[in-house]
Amino acid sequence: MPAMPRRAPQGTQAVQRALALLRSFTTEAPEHRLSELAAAHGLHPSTAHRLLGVLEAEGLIGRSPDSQAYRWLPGAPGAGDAGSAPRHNGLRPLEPLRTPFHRRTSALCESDAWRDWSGYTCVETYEPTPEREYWAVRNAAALIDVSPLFKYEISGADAERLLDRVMTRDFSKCRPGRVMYTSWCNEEGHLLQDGNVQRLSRERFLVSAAEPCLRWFQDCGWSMDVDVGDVSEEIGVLALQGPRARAIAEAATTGIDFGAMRYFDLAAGEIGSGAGGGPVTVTRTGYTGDLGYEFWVAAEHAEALWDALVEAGQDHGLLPAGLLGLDMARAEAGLVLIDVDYVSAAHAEIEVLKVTPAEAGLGFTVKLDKQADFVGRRALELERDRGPAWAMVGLEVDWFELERLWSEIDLRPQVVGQSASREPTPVFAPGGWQVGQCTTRFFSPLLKKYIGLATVRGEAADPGTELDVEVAVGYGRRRARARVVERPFFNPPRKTAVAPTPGVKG
Amino acid sequence: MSGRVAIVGGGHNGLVAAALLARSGRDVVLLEARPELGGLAATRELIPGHRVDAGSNDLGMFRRSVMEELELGGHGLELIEAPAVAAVPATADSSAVVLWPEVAPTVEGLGEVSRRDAAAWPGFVFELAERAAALEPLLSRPLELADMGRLLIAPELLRALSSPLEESLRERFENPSLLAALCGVALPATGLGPRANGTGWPLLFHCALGGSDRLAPVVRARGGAGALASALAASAAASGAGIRTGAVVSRILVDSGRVAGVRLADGERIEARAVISTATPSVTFLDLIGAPLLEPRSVRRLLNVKYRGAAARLALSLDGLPAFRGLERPALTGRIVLAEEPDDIERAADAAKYRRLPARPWIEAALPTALDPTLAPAGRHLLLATVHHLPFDLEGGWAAGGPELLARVAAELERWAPGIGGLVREHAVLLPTDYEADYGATAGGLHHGEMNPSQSLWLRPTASAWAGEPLPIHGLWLGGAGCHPGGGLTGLPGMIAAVSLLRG
Repeated sequence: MPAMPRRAPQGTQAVQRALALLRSFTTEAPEHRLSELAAAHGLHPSTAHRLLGVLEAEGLIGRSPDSQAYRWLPGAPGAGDAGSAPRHNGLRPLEPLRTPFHRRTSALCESDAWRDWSGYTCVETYEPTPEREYWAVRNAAALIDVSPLFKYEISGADAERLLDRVMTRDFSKCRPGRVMYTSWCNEEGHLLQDGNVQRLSRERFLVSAAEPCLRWFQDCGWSMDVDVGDVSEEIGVLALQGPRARAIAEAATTGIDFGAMRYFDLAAGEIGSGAGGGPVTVTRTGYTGDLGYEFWVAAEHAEALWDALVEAGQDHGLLPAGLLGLDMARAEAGLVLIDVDYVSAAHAEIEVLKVTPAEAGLGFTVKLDKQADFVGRRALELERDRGPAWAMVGLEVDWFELERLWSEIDLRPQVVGQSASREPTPVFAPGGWQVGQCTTRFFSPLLKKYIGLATVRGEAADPGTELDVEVAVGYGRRRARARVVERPFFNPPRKTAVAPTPGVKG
Repeated sequence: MSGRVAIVGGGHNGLVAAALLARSGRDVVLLEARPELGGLAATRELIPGHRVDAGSNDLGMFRRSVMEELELGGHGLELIEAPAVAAVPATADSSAVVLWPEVAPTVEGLGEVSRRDAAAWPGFVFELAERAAALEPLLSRPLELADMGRLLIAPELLRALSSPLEESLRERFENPSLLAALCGVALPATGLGPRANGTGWPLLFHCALGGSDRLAPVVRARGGAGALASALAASAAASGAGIRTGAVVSRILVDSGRVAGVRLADGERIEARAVISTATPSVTFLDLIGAPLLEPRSVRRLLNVKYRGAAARLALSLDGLPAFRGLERPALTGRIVLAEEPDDIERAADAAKYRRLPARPWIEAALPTALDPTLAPAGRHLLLATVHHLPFDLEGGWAAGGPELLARVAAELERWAPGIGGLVREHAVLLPTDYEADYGATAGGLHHGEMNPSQSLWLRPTASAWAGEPLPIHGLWLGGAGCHPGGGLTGLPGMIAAVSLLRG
């Protein structure tokens, strides 16, 4: 599918959209439903319906008699195969999914740097490098489309019971209007995922997860009075992160008292300054370790939300940020990332890759004192008695050591201005054998330090412990001295402060 | 806590376990929900004055060593071996075929329908016996790791059990009636048509437990299958076991991952240190224990168990012996298979797949009064017509489907035994829904889990483990047809449960 031209001349947008729709009909794929066409082209279904109606009236496409699908008419002028669309010799790429914000993000993505995230096309960086987007998170505010998260609505009389069965945290202590960050494990106590759970009401929760887990929740809740619904495609999510986030959020919404919102609170309001802008749920959460909010919105109101936030952000230096900038911020916050810093037990190919929450640095989410029997509890009780074998630690690489290693090849350290590396590298006892691996590392522009997240043997995890980490120096691989430090690397008071003065850095 | 063992279910497996444990000095209480013992091997007065077997009544596979150990003869069990194994009556186009336990008379009979098949028969019986003998040790005790090796080094056995039955049989035989007779022996209650992969397994299973060097004979208990239950109960009681009927277990009580006892529907709590459940795996875990106490993967495994193999039974009280074409009285003592060719069974299985009734049901008929006249009042005969390969979730439901099925069965019986309609005096029916409601047979499946290779041996729950993992509740043992080695009147699941429990 050709990308939508970024800036169309006035009045030609409808023509271009109609032609793009027409090109979808090919001999290989002669039939399409309205909903899939709308999704593939980032169009609202009513817009797609209107355009398809014109194409049908012009005799360019037809309707299948048995269903409501639109059909290619053989020989119709201008239909896909005969048109100007590139031919693929029968090969067709798998259509990527578009988030509900795609028309907005694609219009702004000047770098054309896209990345797949759970099948969705997502912006890696809007500009050629992520630096400005990263600095917006720390010094102003950034708007990040995180819609590809999987979202599950869990409702019914046993909704709390199911969450207490699945999750390691105690959901009897999660009041409506609160969000809880939690882990969930398999029967062996091995970490499956981590994610946020919103308690929307006494009997209604929304779980957000990096990977699909509908069937897991259904199996865990079998015979319970509970509904588990996949609402991933129905809800768009925007993260607004940075010191100016509150001021922007206040201007872009109505009905929410942001001054009263504590860290991990949730509130419902309306988009825009007046009534009728469409409902939105706001959580004071994020993946940057900064002041920030996440906005949960029905797909049909997604663009209105984006527009309201962008407009409100004009005076505050708001920038749209891609996934690379987000990744740098989350690493500074010491937040672990699934499939980078730990491997989900659901698809760890070998046993040694599986970790417990404590081993992934999420031990604080395991509540062994809670009433409910949760999946993995017995294994985690054994681990408590025995102590975890691994620990997630922060590493700070000695800068002078880096300079010395690079000076041997007559260069200065080539680490500044790069996004976070996700290639795991070994971590050694000083001059000795391997004690773990470093899974995220980069030069923090804010802290001016080369930092990393590493999984190391329990005995090598105490802050202050000296370790060697392998670094690339030119074409060579060298060991650089590093020190175990406390996570997070960066933790400003504004992240959790209640009623902060807008604009003042915490 | 007392050392008591509570046994859920008074079918023959539960009774075997109770009797063996009581004999070993254990404090045993057996709880049966129904007023009579025997479960799917019970005999009931479904027609006044008649002793009607509700389910299985062939004791040919029942472990002889258990009978001796429990002195069932001394407790009133009398066995009668039927002269015939299986017979297919003649039709307008074909002659009757009768299979006898011994080779010679079968060869003689087959000679009249197919010289080729007659010549092939002795080799077939020999080969079947050889494979059955290789399989038998795996079926009669808890499986060990070495057993897996035994199976893997026997490629012919593996091939036979995983192949479609009809295909294997056609490698030797050509006569449609003979093929139908063998399919009729192997496939009852399997839910699988003879062209389905893995249908070699039920025939081997049947022969491994019921045969030796002969074709597995039909063996009945005098007084009906219920006589086995009565003898087992008498043996258990003599060793001190407590046996209670009308005791509906509603819950297996679990405390900190350990069995604590059972609770009855009327609220009574019975403390026990161990529980043997003979209910289906689904009933045991999802109903009696409850999904929230299980690991999610166990729940998933339970939801994946296939229970196809529903059947209906029509019991007819007749004024005389029906005239099945081409069959003399001795030939009527075994299974009477009313199918002209394997495809009759295949078509029934096809219809079931699509939740429909078979246009022409195939029937496994038996005339127990041909062996034991005491089962019916003088002058009457009892015909048990079992219709296999029925869908449990019949389109349109069984309330409407039941009468329709009966009409089709009646038409079929009339076709095979002209004039039988005029002999019928009374009748009784058990539908798939009755088997689930009355006997807890999940989805009406008489084997507590379809008997195919994908749900057998290591792939079936065992007394103490499932899928290579110990059962999730300490002190819980499985002893019903849903666990290794499987369904049928064998006594083995109950025996293996008792042996496993005694070993600890």
